Amino acid sequence: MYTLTNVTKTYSGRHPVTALDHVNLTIPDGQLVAIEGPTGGGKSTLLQMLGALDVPSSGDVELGDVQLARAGERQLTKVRAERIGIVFQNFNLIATLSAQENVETALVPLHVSAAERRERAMKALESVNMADRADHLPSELSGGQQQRVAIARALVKKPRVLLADEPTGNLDVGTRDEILELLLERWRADSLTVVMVTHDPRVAEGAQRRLRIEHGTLHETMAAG
Amino acid sequence: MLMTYARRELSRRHKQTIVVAVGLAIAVALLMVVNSVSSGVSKAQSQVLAAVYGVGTDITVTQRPSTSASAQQSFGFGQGSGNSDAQGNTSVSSTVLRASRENQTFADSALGTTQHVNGVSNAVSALVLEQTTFHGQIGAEGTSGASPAPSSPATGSGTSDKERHRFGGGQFNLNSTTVTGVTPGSTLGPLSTLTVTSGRTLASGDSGQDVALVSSTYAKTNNIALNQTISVGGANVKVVGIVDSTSSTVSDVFLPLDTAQKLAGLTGQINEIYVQAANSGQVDSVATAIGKALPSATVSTDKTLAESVTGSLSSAATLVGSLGRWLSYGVLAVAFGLAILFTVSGVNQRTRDFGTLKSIGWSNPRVVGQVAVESLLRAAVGAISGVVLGLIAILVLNKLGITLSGSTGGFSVRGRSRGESGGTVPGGAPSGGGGGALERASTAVNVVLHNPVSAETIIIGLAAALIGGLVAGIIGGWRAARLRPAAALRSVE
Repeated sequence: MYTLTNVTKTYSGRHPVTALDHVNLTIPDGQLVAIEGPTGGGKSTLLQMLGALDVPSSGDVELGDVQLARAGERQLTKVRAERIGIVFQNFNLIATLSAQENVETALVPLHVSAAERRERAMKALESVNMADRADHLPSELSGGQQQRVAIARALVKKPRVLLADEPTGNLDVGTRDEILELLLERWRADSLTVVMVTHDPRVAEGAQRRLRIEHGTLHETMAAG
Repeated sequence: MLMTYARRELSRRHKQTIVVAVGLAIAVALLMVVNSVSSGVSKAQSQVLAAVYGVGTDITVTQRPSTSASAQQSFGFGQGSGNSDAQGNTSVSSTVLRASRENQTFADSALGTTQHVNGVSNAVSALVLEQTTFHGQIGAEGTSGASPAPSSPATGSGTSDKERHRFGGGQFNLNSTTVTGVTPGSTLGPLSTLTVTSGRTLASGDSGQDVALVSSTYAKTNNIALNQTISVGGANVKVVGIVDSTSSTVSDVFLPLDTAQKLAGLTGQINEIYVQAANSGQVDSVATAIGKALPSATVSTDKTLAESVTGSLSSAATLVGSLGRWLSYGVLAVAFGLAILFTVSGVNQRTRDFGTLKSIGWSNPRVVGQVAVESLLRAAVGAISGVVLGLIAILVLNKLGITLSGSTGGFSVRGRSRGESGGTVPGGAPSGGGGGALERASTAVNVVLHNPVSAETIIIGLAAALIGGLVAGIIGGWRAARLRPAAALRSVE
């Protein structure tokens, strides 16, 4: 379960920006949450706090028994490696590695043997219907296919949380629906806690709970039923 | 995964890979060539020194002559000396066997003192002598037919012209022979430079015996055959061996040391000690210890002797030692700089990739390791190419057969060069200073430069490149790992 207490994130610079302003949020295990809002409102920053990709300027971020805001780099790395899967808007696949090898990169920190890595990567690709493209480079895949591979990479380590930052942002409508369906399918099958950042209402419609963040301030637009 | 990812990234950035590899290859090759040539020049210097002092000699002990020792040589004849013929001409001859004027003699107890110095593995002594033979004929008085010289009123000698005695003229020859007393059976010192061409060398059993070795040049000039007797110091010694020498300077005659001492009237005296150190790294300390044990001695090491080597060999040593070495270090530094720059540049281009990898759980050490492995692979390509290039360059240099000349300036020559006969000074007067060959202060040796390829040379080249690659990888990897994942991902969004 996620618990955010009075989380503030300010980016310093010539013009300091407060991306999160005293955000309080609790996300129970297994919930599918959509976070909406305008560009620059703080959606991605909030996701980065949840994903232990950054630390708040003040406040607490807890994931289960781990205080992400106060943990050291080693512990944060462990959390990212074991508990959190993340999918990016731009897919962020490694261009020089094949689809299977990209999925395997998520298993490298878990010290899994090479043979087991390959096997689990193939199974993950099968679960997203990409097994036949295992040895293709990202440049040889369509946008939707690359996002499928990215989802496989996020889920291969069997995380407790799946974070998706605009997962359909770069996809056409048809592909968007495919990816959305895939995410919902995995959420149901693996009992994941899913947090999706999106500016697409169609994507947010499938969520149990909808939040909106503007100018760093979070409020609930649809509570979980 | 590590190697797969590394190989793929190096292939993707092949231009950077080539530039870094070429830079490192040139640096490695230059380092190898300088190291190899430096060894070759050092070996050539040792060859020059060995040619003069024999193989295995690390230290020589001598003593500078006092003023009286360097006094001019003289020959005296008493009244009634010589043999006169019917015409009244008188033939006179005299032979003097004395210590070489270049070094003073000292007690042979110094050898024992030297042998007991810590770090000395072997030491032998020698006595270098010069035998000078004066032979001439003095004409009878007035037989020259010259007009009597006018009397000098100032002398008031009261003698008439008829009664004045005039020098009848004469012709004189001066022969010089170098004689060295050596320790029979020794493997160090002058005996170690000799190769027997006929007969045998001097063995331990020859101590005190009137036996000798003669150089092949001396034997040929003076028509000396094996088993013939020659006169040394007024005694007849039997020639048991005719020898050649690896040294460019070789004595004419070699006697057992105690025989030479006896014939020269220098019993218990020597004037040179050749020392071999137990460890080549201890030569300087052993030399210092010998100097303390023998305060009045002049102790010279290979290093001090090497400083006396002049000629193109010396110039090459200076060139390689200073310019060559600093040039290779400079090129290596440039290659390192290139490696670091291109590694950092590559990392900057992959900021998003590293941000993604960190966001899915890759640790900082793993990211640094990835970049370091890529850099090491790049360096390995440069290292191997550099070793091959270096080996080719060394091979070409050796094939060229560069000849360098080295002279040991400032050290006296105890003998004469091969091919030169015994010093004879024809004419009406003795030279007063001995033979011309003995006066020469240096000798030149030509050596063909051979640059060795040792495992050490190759390892140094490989290590230099790989260390450079590792340093570049660590610096680049640190830059990749220092960003938080969010910052890395944000930098390209």
